[in-house]
Amino acid sequence: MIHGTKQDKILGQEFSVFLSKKLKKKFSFLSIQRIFGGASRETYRVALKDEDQNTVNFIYRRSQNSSLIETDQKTEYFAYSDFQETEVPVPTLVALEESSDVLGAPFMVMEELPGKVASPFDKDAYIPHEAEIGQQFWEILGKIASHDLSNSKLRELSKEKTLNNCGKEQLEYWVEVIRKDSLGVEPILEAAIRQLQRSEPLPATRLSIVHGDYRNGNFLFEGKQIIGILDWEMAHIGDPLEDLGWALSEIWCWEKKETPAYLIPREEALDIWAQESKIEINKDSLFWWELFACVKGLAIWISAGHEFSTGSNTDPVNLFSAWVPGDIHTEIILDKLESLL
Amino acid sequence: MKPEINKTLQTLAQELIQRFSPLLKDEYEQSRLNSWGTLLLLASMDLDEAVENLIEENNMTKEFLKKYLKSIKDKKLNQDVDFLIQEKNLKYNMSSLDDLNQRYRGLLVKVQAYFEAEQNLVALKDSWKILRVMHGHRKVSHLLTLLREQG
Repeated sequence: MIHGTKQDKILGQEFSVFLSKKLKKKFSFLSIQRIFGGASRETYRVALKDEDQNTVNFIYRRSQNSSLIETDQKTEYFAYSDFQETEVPVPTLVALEESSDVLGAPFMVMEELPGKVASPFDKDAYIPHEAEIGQQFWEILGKIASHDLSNSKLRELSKEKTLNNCGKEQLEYWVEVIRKDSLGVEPILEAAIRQLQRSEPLPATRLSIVHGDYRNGNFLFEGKQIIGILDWEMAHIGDPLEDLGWALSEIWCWEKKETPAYLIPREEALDIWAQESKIEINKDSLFWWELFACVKGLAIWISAGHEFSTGSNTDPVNLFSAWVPGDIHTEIILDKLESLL
Repeated sequence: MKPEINKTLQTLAQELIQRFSPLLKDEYEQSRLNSWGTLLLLASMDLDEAVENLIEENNMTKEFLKKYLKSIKDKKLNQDVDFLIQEKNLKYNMSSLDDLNQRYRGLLVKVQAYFEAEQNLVALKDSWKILRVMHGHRKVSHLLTLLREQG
């Protein structure tokens, strides 16, 4: 496993050799800095000097030996590809390497965008620009939902998807993760799974690109402007309500539940999304997807706890995920299911 | 009397965050150490009440299962419940209590699923009271403000 400043430098130097060959330019290595957070990829900011002596910053996302979210680099790369030069702001892609032979693990490279990322648990992160950022946040999600799939590279990876099987397929996938990684019996989670199995959502109104982790904390912003939507490793084709249910989840606005993502009120958010996506929201289906978001979230947090307990990845972010977000999602399930009694 | 373990862990967490973390130059390593400090703080808070919480959960579940044993007409499930509630727990170490807790939880899942199928709302409502207490014991989300300050 690579860790520590010295090893990172070696990695950075090897990276600059790779990129020089790939882009047929002469780069020299300046610095490398691992970015904290996120347990699915090791992410680094690498600064290189080009032939004109300009500093160029790249984002280098590398697969981990153990990863919570087991998707290949191609999935994320294709999702970013689908939105290059569109109204959905994403970083410019530079390279994809699927083999481990080059730098020890598959990776992708993007140009670095300016701006900062906030913690999804920081209720004050977007003050005083919540209204402006909120408008863009829900509009962009609407644009993702209405994106034309006819030239989608991501679509090529999931041709089997139909309007009728989106919910069932996702539920089965994440329940399997829970069965594989669970460290103990979770009666609240089990009740949620049974509820979802009993009440499937209506067929999707259309098939869309689903980001898979669209929320506060997964976008770059500067002042009142969203600069880039990040972290597409769970992207897939599915029901657009899936992303909506995930982004609305109370976990991302735990200390101010009336404003999802700590941005604007829920009803306003839904109006903006519906207008942009031109999709009518069925309330029962959205309830299903919001409950599903809790189950999917818990699957991820359970996986994190499993990685930690087995020693395959002792990054504290895994322990934190199992404890804190895991508890919050459990409480949301409790509230939702009690409301049905 | 020696200093208590949970207080000692809290002091260690504070030392990690406030004293050692600022000495690290690497931003990633610094964030990682801060996270460890925060998690240690959470663990130390949980330590003091962990045994008492498990005993309460186990007793509550046992009482619930006893109360509704006669309503469980499924023979196998009824036998499993009867077997577990007859069992005596004489050990009060964490691992034994936790092991018993897992068995109670496993049966609670099956019994809830049974009552859902039977549409026994009264029993279900009672079972959700136990789940609320169980969740309350593990809850750390109310500490988000503290986590933010430490981080």
